[in-house]
Amino acid sequence: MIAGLLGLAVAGYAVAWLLQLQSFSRAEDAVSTASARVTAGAALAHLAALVAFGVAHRTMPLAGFGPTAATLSLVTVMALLVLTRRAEGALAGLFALPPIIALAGAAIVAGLEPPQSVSGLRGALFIFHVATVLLGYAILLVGSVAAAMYLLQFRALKQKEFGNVFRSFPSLETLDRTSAIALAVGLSVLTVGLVAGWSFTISAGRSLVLTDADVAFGLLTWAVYGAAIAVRYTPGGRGERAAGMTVFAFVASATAFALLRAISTTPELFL
Amino acid sequence: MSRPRDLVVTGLSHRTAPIELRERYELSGERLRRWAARIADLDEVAECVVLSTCNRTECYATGPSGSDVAVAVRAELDRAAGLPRGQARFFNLEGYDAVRHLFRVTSGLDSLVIGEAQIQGQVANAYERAGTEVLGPVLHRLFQSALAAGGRVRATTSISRGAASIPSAAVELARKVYGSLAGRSVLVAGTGEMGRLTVRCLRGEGVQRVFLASRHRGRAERVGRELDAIPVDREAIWGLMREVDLLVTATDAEAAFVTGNRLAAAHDDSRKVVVLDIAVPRNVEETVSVLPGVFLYNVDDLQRVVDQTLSARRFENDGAEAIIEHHAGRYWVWHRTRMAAPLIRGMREAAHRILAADLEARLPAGPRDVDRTEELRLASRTLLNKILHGPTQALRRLAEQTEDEREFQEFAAHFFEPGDTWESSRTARNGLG
Repeated sequence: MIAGLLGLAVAGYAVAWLLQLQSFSRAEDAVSTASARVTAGAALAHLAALVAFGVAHRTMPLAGFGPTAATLSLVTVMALLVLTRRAEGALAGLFALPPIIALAGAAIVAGLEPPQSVSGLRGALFIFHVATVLLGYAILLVGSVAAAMYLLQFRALKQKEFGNVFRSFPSLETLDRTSAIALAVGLSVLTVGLVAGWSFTISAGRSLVLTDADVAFGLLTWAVYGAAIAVRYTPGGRGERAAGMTVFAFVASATAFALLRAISTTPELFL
Repeated sequence: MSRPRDLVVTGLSHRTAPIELRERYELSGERLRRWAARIADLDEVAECVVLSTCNRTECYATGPSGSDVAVAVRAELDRAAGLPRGQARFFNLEGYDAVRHLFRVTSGLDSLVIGEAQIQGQVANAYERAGTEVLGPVLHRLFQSALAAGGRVRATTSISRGAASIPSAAVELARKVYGSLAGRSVLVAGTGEMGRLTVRCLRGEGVQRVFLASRHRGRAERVGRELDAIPVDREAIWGLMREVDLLVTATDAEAAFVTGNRLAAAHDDSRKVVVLDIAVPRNVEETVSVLPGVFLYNVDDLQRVVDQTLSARRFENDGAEAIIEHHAGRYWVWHRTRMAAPLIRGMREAAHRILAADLEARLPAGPRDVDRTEELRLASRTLLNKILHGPTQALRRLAEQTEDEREFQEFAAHFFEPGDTWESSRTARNGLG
């Protein structure tokens, strides 16, 4: 039932993405009501899947790759819905929904079972650590989407291509501001999450191993997005340069995620 | 009040008359009030709303005879224009065609620039101006339905989206860079008509400061007063480039005076600036577009934005027409069922009169049991209402399905002819609206 509900959510996200693609092809500048409703409905099915997981396993879906990926994708959907509540977030799902679908799909493939071999992953501090880290990743992903849209709109305006990107995407100023805010909030939340994770490790009597896949991914993501923020404060760094660096940060962290997962010795954890 | 039976629209528009003629027939202000007062006095016209814009003067009216209404209205239009009859080519639509026409006009499908938004407000103004004197239930509901359909078309299709003129394309491009233009500064080089139009459009978007540069200081000051702009000398442009967000060039200079080198020296690379060169020949070198943070658009670019908008609007035409057909169809069903109302009322009144007379004749003479008599009256009225429910619904359905109103009246009168008492319903039919 859990996988079925999550499958239903993935199907809903796919339909919502197709509807947004249709809106884009018609050069509309706002998410259609149908797309927004389908996304919200799919998010409800997604939430129901996670609640069913909690009831079935008497634990929150915050440990193990499948459960964590399912939670991260839901948190990202929530961040996307908040963004699309504002006109500026129109059609952001065009970019945000594919990684959401990929994460939720990967969760189904990997299996929605809590890890068997890892003990001690419980307690308020652990929950707080995972929740804040996932929230941080989700907000950074939304910020990256805004940055990608900025680069496409910038190119359209500079090259005088008055097609669907020009008509459908928000203004450069809006996209730049949205990306900047998302990065600042996302990195702050991620920082809190990483510190909470470090505190949890210490309190559990373990030592922090920087080469652990989870730790390495967290720190790398923090560093590349931190660099993207820093670029904004260099002369002429706002706008195109900051957007480019943000997209680079996303690509770097996504690549690192794939590589670390491939070589990780503890794939049952988040990575 | 005479019966508002036939619905007609007559007048002229950009499709049927040149601008010289449309100007003569335009009705506004005091002229419109006088005209409406004369129309209200005509026996042929029961209701009337006139829609007069620069592209059309159309009169929507109802009356006992559609052709009489049209003739009377046209005569008054000619009188208002001061032209002899037959000079203007009026168009004339009746019934559903008139309804559909108003819905298309309100939605902007009949406009010179398809999908233009102003017409919705102009129709609303015409409807509000009509007042109660010349506005009855037919036109009241017609205009409300048309305005609702216009809103629906604009909300659910892209028919009104995008820029459909050069100045609005300039505004759209600037908004795609800056989002809101509120609080932004603009430098306009040139005092020509196109530059002034663009400034007015930008002012409408909330632009705060406008600098107006001209080779002739006096002209800059004069036009500056008109546009609430700060006059500056042409050479001051370079010093202001670090302050302004938009540069609009619209001078009659024969060679480009904004060169890549000059702008590169004057412009702060970390800031964005939109350069709108709406002059022909161009005032800005194309090399300017490669400068960091500079977005350059000339008249051809703006025209491309307009062309793409109009093309996208035409693509939305079918969807808009479908919405109009739906809303106009609903209105037309309501309109047709109205013609059954007097007949139904007459039929029911006659039936109740017959019942009352028959009941009175059958009740025993002398003292009566008041409660028992009242109970009997109530029971017979309830029974009669139940019997009449079927014919009432049948008349309504018949009215919905019959195209010709007179045919309906004749048919219904024969079908329900109950003898002499039915004469009262004929009277009611001829007197009720």
